[in-house]
Amino acid sequence: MVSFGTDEIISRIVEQYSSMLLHLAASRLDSPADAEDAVQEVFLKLLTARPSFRDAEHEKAWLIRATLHRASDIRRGAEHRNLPLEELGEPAAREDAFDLLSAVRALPDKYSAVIHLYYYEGYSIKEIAKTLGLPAATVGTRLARGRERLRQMLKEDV
Amino acid sequence: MDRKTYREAFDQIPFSAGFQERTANLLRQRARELEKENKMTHFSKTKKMAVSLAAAAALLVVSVSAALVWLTPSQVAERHNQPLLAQAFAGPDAISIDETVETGDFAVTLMGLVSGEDLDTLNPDPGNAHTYAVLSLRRLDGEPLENETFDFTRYTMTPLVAGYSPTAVNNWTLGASAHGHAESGVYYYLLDTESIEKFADRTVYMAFYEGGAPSSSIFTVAEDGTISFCGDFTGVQALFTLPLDPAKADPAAADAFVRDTGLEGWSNERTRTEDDFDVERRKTEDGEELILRPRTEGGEDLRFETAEGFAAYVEAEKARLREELEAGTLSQESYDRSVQDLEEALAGVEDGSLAAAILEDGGFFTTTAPTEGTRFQVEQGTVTAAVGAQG
Repeated sequence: MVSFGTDEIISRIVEQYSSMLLHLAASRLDSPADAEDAVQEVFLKLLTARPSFRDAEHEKAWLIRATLHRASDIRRGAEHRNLPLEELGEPAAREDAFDLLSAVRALPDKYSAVIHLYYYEGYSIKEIAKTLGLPAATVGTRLARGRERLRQMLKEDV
Repeated sequence: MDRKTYREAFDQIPFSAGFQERTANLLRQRARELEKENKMTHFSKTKKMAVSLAAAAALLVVSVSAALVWLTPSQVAERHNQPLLAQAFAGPDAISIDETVETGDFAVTLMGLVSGEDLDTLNPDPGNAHTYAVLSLRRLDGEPLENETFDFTRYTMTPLVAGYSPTAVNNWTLGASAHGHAESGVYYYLLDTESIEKFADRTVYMAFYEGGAPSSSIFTVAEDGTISFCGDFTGVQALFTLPLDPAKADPAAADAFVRDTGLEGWSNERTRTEDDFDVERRKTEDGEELILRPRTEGGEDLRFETAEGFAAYVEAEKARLREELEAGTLSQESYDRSVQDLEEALAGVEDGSLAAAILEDGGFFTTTAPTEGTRFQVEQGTVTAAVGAQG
């Protein structure tokens, strides 16, 4: 079981996962500061909740899922507060509206998570399926549909 | 789009330079605070115990038969450092259930649940109500369950809702997270999920079972929408009906939620979704034959392997994994699990219940036969499964 709390383990976790989780959060959130907040909160949750992990892969999967949930919560929270579009970072409100980052962020959660893990982390369909707890065929379908939506958004704009 | 382009775009995001150091310092500070809080809690418990020794003596006879002491849901929340949630579990809005199902080697007890906003100290978003549920698990043979040996990820605890597909309303679509810990031989699950009260005008279940995401090999849905475990599902299983207040239902929000998942469809048939297969109808002398080809979605140009071809791949992969193990870059546990995955996949390919393709990145993709008893045929890299004549 992997536990979390000593200085050494905190250093390892932060060093090992920060970059991955920041980029993952940034696939849902426009502001790098929001992504940093999301990842910090996930690490804090790991510290306080102390979930039991079977191994390092389980630990990583938990962090990935927690980051996706937290980023979605932050995004939904901003939407609930009826922030102006430019603060939400909606693609239509930005000068670089339909660049790749904006297009990925405009995808529904279920597509962007799969797209990001596949393209940024280089995960295989099977690895994504294990990480997100989905059937491999569903991951394949979401990847294809997410990619198609990206293609349309980027093509329409570029 | 390729991975390089994607990575370059994301690598340009300007995160602050001191993030790691700042975060590690914040965590260390919080860890010290937690340690202090735990010491204080321990001290106050010790004092209270000394004061109440006389009272405890009167209960000695009872305590012999009650050696296995269960935590309350509130105490479980405390163990996860969730004081607000602990209060909520002890408050008037909490629902106490305490129903037990004996299944396999276990007694599974759904202890209680509570719903509300801002109960998680780290989830202060207004308007995001969550439901929290606590379930306990003990072995029927009396052997204690331990953190170190209990395989938390082997089981799923998830809400389900009658009238909605188990694929549409479950842990994964509700964005749930589960935490587990063992104490005094009992294992406790604390589930945190988007609020399920919106479904309260329907029968809402809490399922606990051996396995992953809900599928038609685990659950069956009756015509009236009620959900039960498949008769031939042999894993650990318990299904509790939740006494939610129907007045709290929000049918419009529930419908919108399910629609948004895009996973409304359900079939009790052991078939895969249409997403997974291209279907071709062929006329035969007896009527019509359906040929199903697993879709090669995901942009993978999948070339399916014959049993011989896949066996060669499995051998090569096992050799590679062994090298990684010996080099210390792969844990024994990861090695064992990967080898087991490979061998299970090979067994499926050999008996035709699975089709396997090797991916560009060296991994492999498998898909299961669309119906029970159907066997895949592989020819020149493509795979088909003839379902049967349709008169």
